[in-house]
Amino acid sequence: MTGAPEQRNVKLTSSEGTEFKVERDVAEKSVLLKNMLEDVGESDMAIPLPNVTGPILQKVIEYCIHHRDDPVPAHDDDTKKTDDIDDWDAEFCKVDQGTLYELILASNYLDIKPLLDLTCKTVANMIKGKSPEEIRKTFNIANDFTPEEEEQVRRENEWCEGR
Amino acid sequence: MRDITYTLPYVCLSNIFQHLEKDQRSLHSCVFVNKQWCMSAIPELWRNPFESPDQQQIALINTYIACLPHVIQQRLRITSTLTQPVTFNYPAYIRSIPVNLIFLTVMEWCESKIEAETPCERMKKELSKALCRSFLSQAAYIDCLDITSANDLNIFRLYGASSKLPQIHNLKVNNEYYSDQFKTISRLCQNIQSLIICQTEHIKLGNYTDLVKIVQAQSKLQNLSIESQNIEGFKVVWNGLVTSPHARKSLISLTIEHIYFDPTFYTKFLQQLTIFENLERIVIKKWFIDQLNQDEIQAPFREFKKLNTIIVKQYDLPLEILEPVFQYSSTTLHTLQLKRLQNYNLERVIELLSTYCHNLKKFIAPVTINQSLTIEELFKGCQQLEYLHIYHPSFDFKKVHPLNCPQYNVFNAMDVDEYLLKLKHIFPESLRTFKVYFIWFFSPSVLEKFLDGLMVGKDNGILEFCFSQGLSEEHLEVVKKYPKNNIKLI
Repeated sequence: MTGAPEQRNVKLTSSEGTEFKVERDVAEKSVLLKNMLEDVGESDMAIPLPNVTGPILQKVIEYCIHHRDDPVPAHDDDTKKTDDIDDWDAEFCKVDQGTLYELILASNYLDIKPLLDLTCKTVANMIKGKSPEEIRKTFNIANDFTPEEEEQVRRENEWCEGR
Repeated sequence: MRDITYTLPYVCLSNIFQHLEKDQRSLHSCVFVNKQWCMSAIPELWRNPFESPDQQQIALINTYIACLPHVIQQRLRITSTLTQPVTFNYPAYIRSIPVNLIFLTVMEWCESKIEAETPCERMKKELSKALCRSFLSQAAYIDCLDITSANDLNIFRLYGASSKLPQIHNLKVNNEYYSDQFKTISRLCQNIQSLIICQTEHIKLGNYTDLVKIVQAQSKLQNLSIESQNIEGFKVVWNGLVTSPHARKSLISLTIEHIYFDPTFYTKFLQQLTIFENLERIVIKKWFIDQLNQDEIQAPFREFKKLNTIIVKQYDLPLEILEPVFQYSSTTLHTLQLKRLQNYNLERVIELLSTYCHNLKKFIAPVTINQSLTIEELFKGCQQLEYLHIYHPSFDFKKVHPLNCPQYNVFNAMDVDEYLLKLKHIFPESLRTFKVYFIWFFSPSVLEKFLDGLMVGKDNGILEFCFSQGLSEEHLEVVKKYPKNNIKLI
């Protein structure tokens, strides 16, 4: 009887040149890497990821290892809920805003839909119930509307202002 | 501080806002953060504006009218209160067309805006048509169509219907008389994945033939919900469904609501449920049966192949009559959820589950505090159980704080010191989530003994006691010693 075939490691290089070794099934949680690995075939060459820094890549790998056995989502879940984050994921997302932002960008670039959904959901939860001014303050965003533009958009969207 | 989301690409901001789909107030706030957020949030905010409970209907119609071409505004002799050109092409973002709601919203606008001498009835219809035409021509695609009670406005006759409506995935209809629309749907819309059929009581049976044609035309129908107060009509639709070669393979989820069964048909219905090879989920709500003899449902059944979830809501019948469903899904069933059930026989349910459903992983049910002591039998019978959530039948999930539930008071509390320790030793090895929403009282020392070596709460599980009276600092100190058990004492 033979055991499960040994998995080859995949090498990834972050933007600073730090090399990470991960098992292939972990790397394949990223659709970008999965496609690249299928195209390239067996290779010892490290895959450069110039858009992802080492600390962020480390976090992404941590996520992919934890979720390596999750089934691939069969289709887009059209009922996106913000209150169903499991506890490990919630703990994973307890990072500063800069890291959360980098994780969103990295999961978008690497095409890891569940991680993109999780991080976006976390930001959505930070937005819930806030006024525009509170949101700007939370994320340090400047208002670039002129008063006239803002008033015009307000009038057009008056229908869903709280009564 | 770093500007976190300012430079997020559109696709990421859009993903964030999709998570706020049901929270229009927050989405509305996002529109006014800055121009980039505005451009990403507007399409989400305007996906389905007619179905918001707190909307200001007149203002909504005003904006849509401002988006209509001037020639149409002139022809209808209407003007929007918005005098400037609009910032966005709002009709382009709609994805759901609830025809009758649009008509009712327009009606409200007309009644507030149009002078008494104007022929208002005609105006309501013409403006509704103009808006629907605008949605059909401007929207990139339409995903949902609701034509319930839309007798006066046949959307399929409007320009753009034949190109946009074949793409719909969700359809809601009722059985009022609009045979024309039903005939068109069965010919034009064959990509429906989710179909809701609401039926009223007093309807000609002849109309059901057209409903059957809609059902039988769908090769991708995954979710079907039938709400029927008319058993004869239900029988026609049901026969159409079971004879559909597509539905046998495609159907995944079935909701059957408000049905008055006769005993003979009930048995046949249960038998026919197994026809659907890929059926994974059944929702049972408000079923009624006259004088059912238990022996009558002992007819031969086939095994369900994939049925894994049963949800029973607002149901007053003895759960024994569902015995064949439990029995013939014994290898596949992993979730049973009971909702809004009063005075049912929990002991009998546990007996059924212990007899047949050895693969049950998740059990959620309202249970009285005295019945809560019988759950040990469930643990003995269902050794694969991973998730158990029991709550008081009057528990209101919308008012989670105990102070908001006056029916709870300390007199309903139960001392469970001994029982908790007993449970620990009979918990199935796989149990990771244990949620109890009663006033279970236990001492800190018992809590510590209970938690010592406990696997519940670990590996993404939750150990939760809600409404546990008499919680003290000492309890919280004990909890701190077991961070991996993910304990919530509410």
